Amino acid sequence: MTIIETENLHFGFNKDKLVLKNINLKVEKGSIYGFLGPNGAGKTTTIRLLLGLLTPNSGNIKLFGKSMPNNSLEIFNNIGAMIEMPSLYEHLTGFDNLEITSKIKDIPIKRIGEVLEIVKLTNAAKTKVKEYSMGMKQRLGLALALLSEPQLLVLDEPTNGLDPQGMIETRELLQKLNEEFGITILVSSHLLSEIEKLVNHLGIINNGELIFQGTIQELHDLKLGNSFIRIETNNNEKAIAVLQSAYAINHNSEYGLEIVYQNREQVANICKTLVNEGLDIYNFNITTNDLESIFLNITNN
Amino acid sequence: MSKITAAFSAEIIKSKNTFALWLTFIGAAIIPLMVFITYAYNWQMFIPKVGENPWVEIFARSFNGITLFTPLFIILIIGLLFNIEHRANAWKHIFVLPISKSSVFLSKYLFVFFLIGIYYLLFVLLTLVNGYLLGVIKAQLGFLNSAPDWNQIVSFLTKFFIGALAIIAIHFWTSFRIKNLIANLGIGLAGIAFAILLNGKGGLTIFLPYSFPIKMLNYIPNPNWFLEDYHIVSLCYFVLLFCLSYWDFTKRFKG
Repeated sequence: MTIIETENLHFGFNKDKLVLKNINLKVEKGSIYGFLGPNGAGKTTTIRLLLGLLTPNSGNIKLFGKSMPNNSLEIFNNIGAMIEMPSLYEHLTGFDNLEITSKIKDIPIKRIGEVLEIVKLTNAAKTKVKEYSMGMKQRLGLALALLSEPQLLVLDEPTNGLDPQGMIETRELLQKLNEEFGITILVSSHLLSEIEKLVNHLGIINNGELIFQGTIQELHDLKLGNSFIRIETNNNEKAIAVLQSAYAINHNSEYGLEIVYQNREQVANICKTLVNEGLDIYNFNITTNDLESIFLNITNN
Repeated sequence: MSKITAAFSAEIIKSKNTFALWLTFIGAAIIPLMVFITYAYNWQMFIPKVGENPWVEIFARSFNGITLFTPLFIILIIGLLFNIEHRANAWKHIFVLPISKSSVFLSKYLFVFFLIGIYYLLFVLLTLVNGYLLGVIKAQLGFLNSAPDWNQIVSFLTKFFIGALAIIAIHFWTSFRIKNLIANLGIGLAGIAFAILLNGKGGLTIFLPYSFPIKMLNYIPNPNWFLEDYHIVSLCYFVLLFCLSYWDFTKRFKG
């Protein structure tokens, strides 16, 4: 079942300039969908459109198979959302903040204790939010989103401003929510490295256009096509001669050769060939064109 | 309706530990305190003549105090209430909750009226305490020998509230639209200053909402009509601005 689906979504803050062009998102039930793009690419705008906080110029949005914004009240019962920084009343305690939302969502008070437990804020429940660290505020924001036991979590840059430990904790928490409670998660970020270990589906947006959508494996396949080995031997000319019939030599400079490879077996084979030819290998550096550089390549194009 | 009640109870939680709530209590106490000091130090001036009800005089003096103070209180209280949402960047959270914008709008209005109601009630209560306390301290003031004129109290406060409705509607609208509290205060203070400069009188002041409360200074009720012309204008302003701001909030306002 598709939880989020957009069709030819266009949006501009003024009529002359579109900031989103033809966005066709598809988020399947049970997935963790990473929505990735550089700052200013249109992630938050897309999320605001999904949640009815902005009105599209054209196109359709369906959440849980129902169109937005016509069914928004029914849809919002099943959604927990955190857009950019969590909306928190800093003069109140963490508990008070949760109680406000629980009143409106008609959620029993005992659920507050449960979500505080999930985000590990039980001990800080009676502390005013202005005394919370950034990480605690993000966790409280997550607790707010989890109050109604939502089927879908929409999180816009949930690790913004967190230290590495906070990022890991958030990632583990989201994984747990997805695995144990079956919650579908849409999480946006401008850092691929931050979410590549978390998500199983990915959408990459740049300059308001969705330029990649697929599984992490599909992005990995792209990656292998662009990976190369940097080699330096005692005789680079001979190395070229023995390898060029089977491999593409990308570059030859004073730093050595760059040879494109497709899989791990080819890496082993290149190494073996050079040794068998009696060449001394001074440097054998596998430059994995990692997801981050793939992401940069895609967005730079 | 249940959603409005839920949102209203959420408003009560939000107001905890806020200046808005303290302002309601302190604001209601300021005028009775000043009146108490005036009576305590100059008590000879206030000994009633034979047949005079001292309660009428003390309430008339207290009412004069709130005609000048209440517009400022209303502007502040509405600005502060909306500032709670602006400061928390809370609209994007509120608007993705399963509650209609209409319910949010109406619950906010109800809460503003609720705080103004508490302010009025406390003011009346403290003025009554004033009278009884002064009566105990100085029996000559005669407060213990007569009863408050409830007709005077209810009638004045009802008319005064109607006169303030235009200001409430203006500032309710500007306070959700203009996120800067100081700017909202500036608009209100400019309006009040203009109304004071005109002394609440003159042809055009009938259209200047900030002058309506000032017009009730030294108020003598009209024996023929319950409401004055400016009360009717205030009601018209309120209905018009309420409808327009409701439309703006529910259809256009995105937070």
